[in-house]
Amino acid sequence: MDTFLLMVHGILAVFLLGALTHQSLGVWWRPARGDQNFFASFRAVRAAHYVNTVIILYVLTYLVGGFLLYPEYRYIVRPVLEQLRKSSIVGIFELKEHFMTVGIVLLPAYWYIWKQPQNSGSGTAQKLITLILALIVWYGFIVGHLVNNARGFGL
Amino acid sequence: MSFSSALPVFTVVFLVAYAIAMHFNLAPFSYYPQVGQFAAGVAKPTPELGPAMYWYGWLVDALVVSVPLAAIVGLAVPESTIRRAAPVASWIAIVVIAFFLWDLRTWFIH
Repeated sequence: MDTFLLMVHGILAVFLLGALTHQSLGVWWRPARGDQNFFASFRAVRAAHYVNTVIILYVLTYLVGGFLLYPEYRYIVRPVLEQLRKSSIVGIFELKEHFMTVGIVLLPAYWYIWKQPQNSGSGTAQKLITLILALIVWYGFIVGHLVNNARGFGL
Repeated sequence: MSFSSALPVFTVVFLVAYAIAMHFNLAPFSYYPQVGQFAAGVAKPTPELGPAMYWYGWLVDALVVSVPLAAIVGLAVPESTIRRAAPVASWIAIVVIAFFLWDLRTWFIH
């Protein structure tokens, strides 16, 4: 069951990562008119259309990770890491827990800022909050993999 | 004045309340994940019950503070003011992230 939940958590995180990366690049680095290469196409998205999907994916990923997986990590994995004196591994995962909480709490403001009309001057706020969410999710994704595969990485 | 006006306020208040609850470990309850039991206050880990988690308690702390405060401010403050102030939420998030990095530095610096 844990392996299944870990896979579900990982797959949801991949979708979320993709959505937020598309949206961030779409608002921070708009493609020039006529630019049709792969990277321009990657950025040429209607960023506002990602908002509800990002919120749903974030909440689902957070619930599975924080409420179904984290408790088992806390009494099975973390004590072993502490016994092995892998405090930096425990530390980056502790930071993940708090950063992901910052992210989920940002979602109401994210929704509010994105629902403002495009001509309301909220463009900079949209860019910033989307970038913060994307960086948080990238951090969580990379750290999740590092901790899950710590022995394989030789950490 | 609308429900949506309360959302950015909720974000800001929750972030600050959560950081304070975490830093001072103000958990109203603890959870023993090994046995699936809750205990009042900040409970110590024991050999029988295993390690104690305080994270859920900090989340509840922050919710209890932020939901009513956001509702009051969201209803009392004009929508135009909230709209202008909403970007502050992103900057508060950056400050709180920096605070967590500082607060948890002992995991990395011995």
